[in-house]
Amino acid sequence: MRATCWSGRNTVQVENVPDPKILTDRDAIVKISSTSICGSDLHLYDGYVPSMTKGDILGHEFMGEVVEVGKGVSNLQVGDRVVVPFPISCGNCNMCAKGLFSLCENSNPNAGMAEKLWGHAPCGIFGYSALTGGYAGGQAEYARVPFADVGPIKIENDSLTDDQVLFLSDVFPTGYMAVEVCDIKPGDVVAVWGAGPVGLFAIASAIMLGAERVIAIDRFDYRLDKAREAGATDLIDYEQVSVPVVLKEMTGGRGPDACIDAVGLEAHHSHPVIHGYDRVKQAARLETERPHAIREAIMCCGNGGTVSIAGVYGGFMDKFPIGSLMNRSLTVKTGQAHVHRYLRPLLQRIENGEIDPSFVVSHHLALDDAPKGYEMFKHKTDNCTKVVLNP
Amino acid sequence: MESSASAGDAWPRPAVGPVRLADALGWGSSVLGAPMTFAPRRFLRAIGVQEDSKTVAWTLGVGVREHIATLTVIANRQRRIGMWSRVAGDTMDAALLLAAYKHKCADPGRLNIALGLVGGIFAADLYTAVALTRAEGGDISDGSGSTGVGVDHDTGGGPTRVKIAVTIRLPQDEVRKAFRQFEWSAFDPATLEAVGDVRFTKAPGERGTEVHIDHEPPAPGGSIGATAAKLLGQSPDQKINDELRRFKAFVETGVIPRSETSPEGASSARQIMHKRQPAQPIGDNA
Repeated sequence: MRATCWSGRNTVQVENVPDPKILTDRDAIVKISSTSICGSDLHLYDGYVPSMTKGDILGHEFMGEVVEVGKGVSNLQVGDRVVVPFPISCGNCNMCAKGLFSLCENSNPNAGMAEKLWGHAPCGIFGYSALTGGYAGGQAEYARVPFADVGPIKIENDSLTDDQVLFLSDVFPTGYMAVEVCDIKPGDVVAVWGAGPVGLFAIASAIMLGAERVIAIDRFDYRLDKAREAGATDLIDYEQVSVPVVLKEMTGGRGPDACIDAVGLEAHHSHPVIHGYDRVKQAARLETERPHAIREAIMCCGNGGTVSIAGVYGGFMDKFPIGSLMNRSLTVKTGQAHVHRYLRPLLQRIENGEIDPSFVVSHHLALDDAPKGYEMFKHKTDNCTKVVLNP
Repeated sequence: MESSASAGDAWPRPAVGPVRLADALGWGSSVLGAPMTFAPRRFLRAIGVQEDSKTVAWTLGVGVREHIATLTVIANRQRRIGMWSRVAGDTMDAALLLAAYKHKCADPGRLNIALGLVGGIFAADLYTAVALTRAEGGDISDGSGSTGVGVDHDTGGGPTRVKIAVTIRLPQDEVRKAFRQFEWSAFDPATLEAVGDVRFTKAPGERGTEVHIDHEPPAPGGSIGATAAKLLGQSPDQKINDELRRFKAFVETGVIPRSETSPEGASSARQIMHKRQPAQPIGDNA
């Protein structure tokens, strides 16, 4: 089959690789109809996630048709149309039982590696380095789906297009969870750093969950336009104004009730010296992150507010404003999305017409054009918001 | 503010002094070993010994020994073994210096200073080794065999000793039964149970059963062999760790989770040696 393989820093190649096979009774094989490039794939592409091996198949957002099931998978049949959540979760361990699916205790065979870096290990993830299990990803013609009796959700409503349901695999639940954990109350003001797909879904979710005002922060006009489309009531271009000053002014000096970081480890800062400081430290591997967004989110959050981290971080950062966090009674909520618990409720919202997730898509490309898609997405050319690959 | 355990608590009193001294001496080994291995001739000049192929070879050998001592004490945390090894090494060094005094002396003054330093180090090593041995015998700490490195449980034992625990979301009787039936290669489950090296306890909060293994498999090659095996991901304790992960997964899920890069499931050897194939379908070799 054809598959998008990581081939070193800033390069991916679409290669011929063996077809996947069932390895355990709880596996299924899915023929992929749509798969997308996630913002977090860019961290792999840019070489900021350790333990990648040349040839690793990328991709953790995908859907398609079940073509084979293991003996232990009774809820799926060949021919079912499914969306596959990016966390691989067994459904049996204590974490899965608590609904913390991205912390599954059994799905990461390389948990020992992750424990050395993070203390304890998260779940396995498709196409996301050896640290999260070393699973082949879904930017391919086919994918093996472990614990297929737990993860994939059947899409039985044929009127829904792939673009409408594909993002249940990751970015929609990720954005939704980032807001849900903030416990939004009527009248709350939510600020979202980053108007990429996760940020856009966080904005849309904040509106759905009752926020009175949602402020989008980015530096690209086309992304801010998308944020408006998603429901943002206010837009801030952080290259034009001082975000802390504007947020204070917008909120009567209080600061937002919830600040959501939908940027992660490769943030930019409008001040070249500050950006350069972290860029150099990151390049020299003196820190693994460029944490401008999370620093600013903490500093801007109103007293007693919640800072929610949806953007991906990998290791260690410098100048973390712990004093602001502690002295102002802020709450931090974070985690890889526990996608499984959001699949049905969010599918229901899509079916009810409360949201059409396809609004984030900017490009459809053939699988063989994946390298072009990565370059466009990385450099934000051609107003690129979300690239969907169709094998 | 929370305070730590106070006098009268049932926590072990850490033998912090000897442990810190052992760590300092452990690091000191490599500090001393560096010039021996990287500049042996300059080292020989510094201690007043003649330079020839024989004395250089001995210096290189002693230098390597010093680095091994660091690995044993610092990396492998086998402080007691490391300290007694150092005592033996000091004796050997003194013998070598005395032999050099007789046959290869280039500068008697410098050689006298070197002998004096070896004597001082010998005294420090001996004191530390004795103190750690007494601690592990229970004279200093609580009798648990702890070296008391700021922990509340026993950390003594040999280089392959493994203390590990997992929580399995099943009742004790089911876990016990599965433990006996699972195909372990790292140990015989019946023997482990018979000697009390495995414990099953109820996990708090309805979270199932905790399996605690405290086992010391044979260590071929002693601490050096264990360290080498650990670097390759092949030490007995790593195998137990891997198998316990697989056991938990198998008992809870009915399968051993396999990824494209770890087709056998959890494997320290693959992780440490980076013998990873790319995350691509395994094909017919599966």
